[in-house]
Amino acid sequence: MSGGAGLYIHIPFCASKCAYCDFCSAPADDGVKRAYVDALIAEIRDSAERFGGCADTVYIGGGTPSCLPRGEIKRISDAVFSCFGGNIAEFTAEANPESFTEEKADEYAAAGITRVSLGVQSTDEGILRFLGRAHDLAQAEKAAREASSRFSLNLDCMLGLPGQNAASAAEFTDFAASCGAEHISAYILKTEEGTPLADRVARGLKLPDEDECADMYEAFFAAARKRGFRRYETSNFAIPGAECRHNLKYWRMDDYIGVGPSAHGKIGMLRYYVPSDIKRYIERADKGVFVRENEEILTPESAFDEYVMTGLRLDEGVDIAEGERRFGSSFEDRYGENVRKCSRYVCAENGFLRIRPQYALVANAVILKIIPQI
Amino acid sequence: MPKDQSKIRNFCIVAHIDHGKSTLADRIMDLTETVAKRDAKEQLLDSMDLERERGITIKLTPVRMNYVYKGENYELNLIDTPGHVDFTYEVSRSLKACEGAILIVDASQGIEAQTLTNVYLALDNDLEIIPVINKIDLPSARPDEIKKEIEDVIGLDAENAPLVSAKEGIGIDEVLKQVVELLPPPSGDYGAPLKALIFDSYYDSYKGAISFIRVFDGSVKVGDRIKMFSTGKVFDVTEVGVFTPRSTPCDSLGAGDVGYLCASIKNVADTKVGDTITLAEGGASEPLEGFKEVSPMVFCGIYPTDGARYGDLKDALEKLKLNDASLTYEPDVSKALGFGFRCGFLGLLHMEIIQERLEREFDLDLITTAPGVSYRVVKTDGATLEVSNPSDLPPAGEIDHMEEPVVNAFLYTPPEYVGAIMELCQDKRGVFKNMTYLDRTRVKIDYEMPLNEIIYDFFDSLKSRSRGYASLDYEIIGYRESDLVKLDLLLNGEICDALSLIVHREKAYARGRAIAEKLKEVIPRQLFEIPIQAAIGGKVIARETVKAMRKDVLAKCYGGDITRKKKLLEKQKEGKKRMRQVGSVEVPSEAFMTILKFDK
Repeated sequence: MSGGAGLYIHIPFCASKCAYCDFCSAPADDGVKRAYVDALIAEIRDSAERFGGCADTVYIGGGTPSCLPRGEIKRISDAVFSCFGGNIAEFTAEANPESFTEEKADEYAAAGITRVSLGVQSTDEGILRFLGRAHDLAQAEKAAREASSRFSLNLDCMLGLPGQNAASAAEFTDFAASCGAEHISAYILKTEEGTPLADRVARGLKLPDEDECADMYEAFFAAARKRGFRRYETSNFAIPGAECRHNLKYWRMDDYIGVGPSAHGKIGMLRYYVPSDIKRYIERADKGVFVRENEEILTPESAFDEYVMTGLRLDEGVDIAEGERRFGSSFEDRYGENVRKCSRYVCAENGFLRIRPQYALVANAVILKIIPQI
Repeated sequence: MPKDQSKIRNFCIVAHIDHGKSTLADRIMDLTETVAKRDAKEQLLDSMDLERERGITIKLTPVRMNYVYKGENYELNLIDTPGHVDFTYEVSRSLKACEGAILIVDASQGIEAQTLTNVYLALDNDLEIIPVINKIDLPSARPDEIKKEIEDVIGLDAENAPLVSAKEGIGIDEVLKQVVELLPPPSGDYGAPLKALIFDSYYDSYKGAISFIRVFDGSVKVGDRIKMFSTGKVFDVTEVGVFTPRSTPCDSLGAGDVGYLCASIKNVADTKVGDTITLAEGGASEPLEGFKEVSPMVFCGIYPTDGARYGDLKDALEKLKLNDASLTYEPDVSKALGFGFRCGFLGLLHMEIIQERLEREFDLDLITTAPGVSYRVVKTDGATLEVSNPSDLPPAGEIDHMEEPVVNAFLYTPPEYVGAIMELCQDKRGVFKNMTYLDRTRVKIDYEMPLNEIIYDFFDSLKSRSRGYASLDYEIIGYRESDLVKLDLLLNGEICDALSLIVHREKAYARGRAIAEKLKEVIPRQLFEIPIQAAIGGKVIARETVKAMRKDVLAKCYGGDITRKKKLLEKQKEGKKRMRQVGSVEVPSEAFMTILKFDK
């Protein structure tokens, strides 16, 4: 394991809900938000007691952390620093352009945040409206420049949107570069059940098809590369050295603690999650009760499978020797035959098994061939 | 002791589907108080749920009723009959058990396909026929016209035909009066050696195979040693009885009686429909006429989706066969589908019912291949083979010629659809034989057609071209030489045996193209490009390509929610469960059947 655990903190509040979103998040009034942060702080303390107070990466995600009232982010970070010690090498917080003002930037800086992830999604105004985002391009640019001047900056980007094409994919990387971002996360739009988007699709909205999405992604990849952003994980691109250390913990199956409703954690062989009901969460925390549902107790075999699954999303691939050391079985025995059957799609180099770059987009199919039992 | 046969009436009810046989049977039983009112269930004689759902009867269950007429007790034995074209032989054997038949004609629909087939069958068996006009309660009923139709088309005197509404219970008594007055009693010789006709059977787990019999001559009782004429096998009678409608044991059955017989017969195949039962010692010297071994006409391959359930499928088929001697099956292996069975059925409906029963009653998930017929292959060395599985065809070089089963098809339609229907028959390689105007509203068209053109969706096409008004009946007339070829489907260069077809050369190109197109639609994109080719004897006649997959799901990995990611993979895995590996290509199980349902 590299360094300490990662600490993930969830903020389930937004100014408004986007058309495609099925995450645990909704608008709320300030009173609720403050009560929530009280509960969060209590759980942070409890987690440190339970799992040991040693973390080297912190990530505040949501929802929209930047929509918390002034002072709340500081309260959270104070609790984090006091419970999880002084070895925090990377402290990320997400923000949305419309609420990332200069004041908010000050707040983040004062809280010890070192890295900001900005939900830009697109540089096309029409698409921003389509997605139901609460900001416009001008706000996005302003917020991005503000952020990059003081923090390491990631921009979130969405692909596979109606009206997009290869050219607009390239536009985003230009924008990112010009704003001083060092990292881009690019996801292809997925229609989730129960969202307004799903509704529109059901009523006939046409989204780009598989081939169009693949073309867009490939154009994005090429444009990003040109601008110096190197893909290190299927959906994540960074100027070398600016990779997100916290997220790497997920893909390398390191330990991470999840705090707040819908947050997930993995400590050793235990996977757990915090139930999503915000009201109950606050009520319980008030009584000193913190529920972490057992999602799964991994066995060395299933853990190895997951390690391979997530590792294959990394461009560097799966560290074979490390896997054998941590999970006790022989990689060759467990996966050798299937890997050989897939030799067209994977290659082993320097002790790492990786998916050949041209098949990165169909990683799931390859993974199922190597680990059909997952 | 011989009973007074003059007070017995043995009769059937015959009709076209849905003209009301079962309802009339129910009403007759009500009237004769054969079933206590509180026990009555709609359409009592249908004993199987599936058939009940489809509103058709398959199984025959004879009922003995008591009817008092002019102060005398009469014993009425009623036999219910199936109405579908697949089961004509069973109908004919139950007709043979009777002296008369009630012919039901729907007062608004008039004479339809099976009205005629059944009445001709009945006349062939020298039955006295009582025409009955049913559903007079309907606003569209036109009884006088129908009476005339009966007289003109069949040549029966319908002037006194009872006007009935089985649904409303009107006119039932008149029907029974005519049964007593107009139908002849049975006339067998009680003193002669036993001759009893088996007209149906079913399997009971305690009593073994139970035969439904009509005794013509002699008598049979518990303890008698009997012999089956067709096989010579000998059994000891353990029980005889009648149905009221439940089985009720009695001492003996004699000439003129209809009832059942049990003899610890382990296999229902030993109680063949149409067979004659006699005594093992001193029995009759000749069997009754008309027995024939039933042979399957339509075949398909049935495979378990999960290979591990092969044993369950085998058990299920064994159990179904207990009660259905006409179902045949034998083990079969397909490169694509694994271990399964090649099954034979009397027809498409029979096949569909068996498939549904396997899935429902035995909870089996199945892959079935397209239905086919059995072809006769005459080899260059003179040998003749019967081939129903395309993969069993000898190489083209060894085949002198092939023959296919052919039918006489009788189509009944209103005149405005004649053109569309003739076009359909022409398209199906039909040879026009005759056309008759039955009346202003109905035309009968006779075509000679290959059986394999009828078994897919000819019936559905017929209905859609005639807005449901046309009907069809057919009889197999033999084999004809035909220019048949084997159509193969290759996936990624390899022949998929389960997709092979025997088709007429004229049809091969169009069918090959259509199948290739359908396969392209149903085969999901995979990691590599998949060429699909239809070929005849190695020559590619149609080609399609399934493009390689470009992307999987690429969604945000949210806050360490790896489980969600695994669930997504699981979904992809679920999709794979219904896939069969054919060489390097994953093919969904539906592909093996649905691709062949493509006619308009």
